[in-house]
Amino acid sequence: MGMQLRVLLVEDSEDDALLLARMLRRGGYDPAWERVDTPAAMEAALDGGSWDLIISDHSMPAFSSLAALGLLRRKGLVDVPFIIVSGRIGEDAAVSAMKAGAQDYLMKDNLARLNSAIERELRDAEVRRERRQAEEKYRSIFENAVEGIFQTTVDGWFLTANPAMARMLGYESPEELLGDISDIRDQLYVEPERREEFYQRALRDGFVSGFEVQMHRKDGDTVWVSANARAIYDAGGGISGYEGTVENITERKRAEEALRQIRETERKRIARELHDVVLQDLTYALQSMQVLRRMPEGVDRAGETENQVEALKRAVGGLRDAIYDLRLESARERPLVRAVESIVELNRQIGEGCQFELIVEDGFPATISGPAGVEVARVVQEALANVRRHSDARHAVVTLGMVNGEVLVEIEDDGRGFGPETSYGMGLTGMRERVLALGGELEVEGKEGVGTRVFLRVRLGVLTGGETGERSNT
Amino acid sequence: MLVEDHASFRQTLAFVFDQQPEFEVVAQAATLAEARQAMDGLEADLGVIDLTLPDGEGTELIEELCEANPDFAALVLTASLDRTEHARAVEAGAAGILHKSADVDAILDATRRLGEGETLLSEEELITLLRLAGQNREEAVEARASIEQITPREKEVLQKLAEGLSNKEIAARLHMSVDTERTHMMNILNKLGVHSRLQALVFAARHGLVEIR
Repeated sequence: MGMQLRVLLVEDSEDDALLLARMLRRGGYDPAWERVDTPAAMEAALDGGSWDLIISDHSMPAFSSLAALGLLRRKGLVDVPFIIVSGRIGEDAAVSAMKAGAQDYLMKDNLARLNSAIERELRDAEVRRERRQAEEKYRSIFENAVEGIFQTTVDGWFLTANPAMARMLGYESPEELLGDISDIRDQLYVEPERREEFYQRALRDGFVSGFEVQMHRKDGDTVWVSANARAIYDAGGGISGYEGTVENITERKRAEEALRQIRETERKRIARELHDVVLQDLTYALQSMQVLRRMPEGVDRAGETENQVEALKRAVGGLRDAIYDLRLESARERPLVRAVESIVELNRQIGEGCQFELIVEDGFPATISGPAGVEVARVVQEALANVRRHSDARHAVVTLGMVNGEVLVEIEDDGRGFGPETSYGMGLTGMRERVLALGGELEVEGKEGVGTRVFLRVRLGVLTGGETGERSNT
Repeated sequence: MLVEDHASFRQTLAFVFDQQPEFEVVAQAATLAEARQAMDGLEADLGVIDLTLPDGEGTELIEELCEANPDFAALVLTASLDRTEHARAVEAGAAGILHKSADVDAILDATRRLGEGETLLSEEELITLLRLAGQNREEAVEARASIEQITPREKEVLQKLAEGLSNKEIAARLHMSVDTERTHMMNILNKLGVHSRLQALVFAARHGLVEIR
């Protein structure tokens, strides 16, 4: 048995069709063929099945090879090889048929070449099909990508941009973007001198990766993007342009900025507490000790010493709190679980009269770390500080869990409960701001005399760094 | 004249000063009120004055003393490292500033030099501090202007924020919609020129706009 071949014969002569079929069999094929000689019949045949090859006569009473080609193109069947087998038609007709898309032209009185032509055309058709599919795939990626894709010249024109690129910069379409921007440096860069940095990096490495830059949008807003690109070189070896992708990281930048401000505000608060409380107490004690030996008769020395001790105790307490507050600064590299463990341990050491417990539920990812994880650890830290300072609790439990792709953290105590009478003020606001920056949710429930429950949820993707804190719309 | 609320320290200082032939302690006070009372008919050349007193700031007293007697020289003792506080004191007329951790001999030495008409602050230091005081005053004026823009309703929102409530809770407590609360909060951030609720709260607390219990 030869190679199966589905052949559509556009031929008005049944004899010629049989002859062609015999030729094919002789060439090692096992043809399944159908003969048509009108447009309607051909259309029905095309609709009715898929064809590997079309062999067409040039002119027929009710049809022609050119009309058959036209029909084939209209059907979108661009990959099926189309071979004309005809009596002599003259050079001009042959050329116009080839131009119209026929792959080959053979004369009926000389069919020796038929099988080798078929073999070649089938092979070429396969190559064309693959290339077209690849192009379609590329086109689809280009058109539908979430990331912006671009080609630009070194002097700041866009050669290509995809719809996502245009959208990111606030333009209706890539065409509008290409038309409006003639100087990327001055029109798009918020800090134009950074374009030079981009060029230098491309010059040095041949590519630029993770280049974070702020750009102007058409509507006057700005957008933060991260660009990955490679240099394109001209014949002389100089950089003529770049091609690559950009990603919108505005939300991530915004969240980072929010967290930076929170940290900054907290550092200032800690500095103020050290200055206004600890420094005052230490100064008092030092001053008092310095004059002690010169104190006149009649001054209550024992009482003074007691005051010194009290001041020093307060200072130690204040320092301990400040150290506790600052401790997480270096926790970035540690996994979240370790960071929370050490916070709980620290509270065990300094929280007198309260038992601290940590429960890590099965399935809680041990590997979460990085800046977003530190923020979660800080919320735990702040919540436990509240427990120690305000709650009078005997027992506090921290639970780390994970449900449906969300990290859940619960801090529960049996203290006096957060109500209108007790105020956590600044600490609670700090906690809320942090969780907000992570795109998560924080609930605080307090029942007087029963206790307080702080409950936090954040999507896992935010903590592992894959996502920004932006709330998804889905 | 010694104005210092830490009694045993003040008494010791008085004791040590009185032992020196060139000094005589003519008045001691632990509060602004006591000092003002003592000022009446007092003829003092030098004062050692604490900035943080139970009923107010020593700065006020320095201003009053210098006004009453232009030759009066005030040495400030303070536990603060805040340069703006130092600047305010110098602007009020303080002739020298010592940190409270200085020992008694250093205090004696500084007071002696002031008594002999020496200056403790170099001209440069003096100018730097006065400029700082000026800037500080401008900032205070700006802060006051910001605060004056805050409406009573916005102040209520800030106060609830200071109690640690969430937006939803604030809205519920003040009988407004969450959107209205958000609008108030945005207005507050804009008026105070800050970027987050936490910063707004810190600003409000520092300028006495809210009470944090």
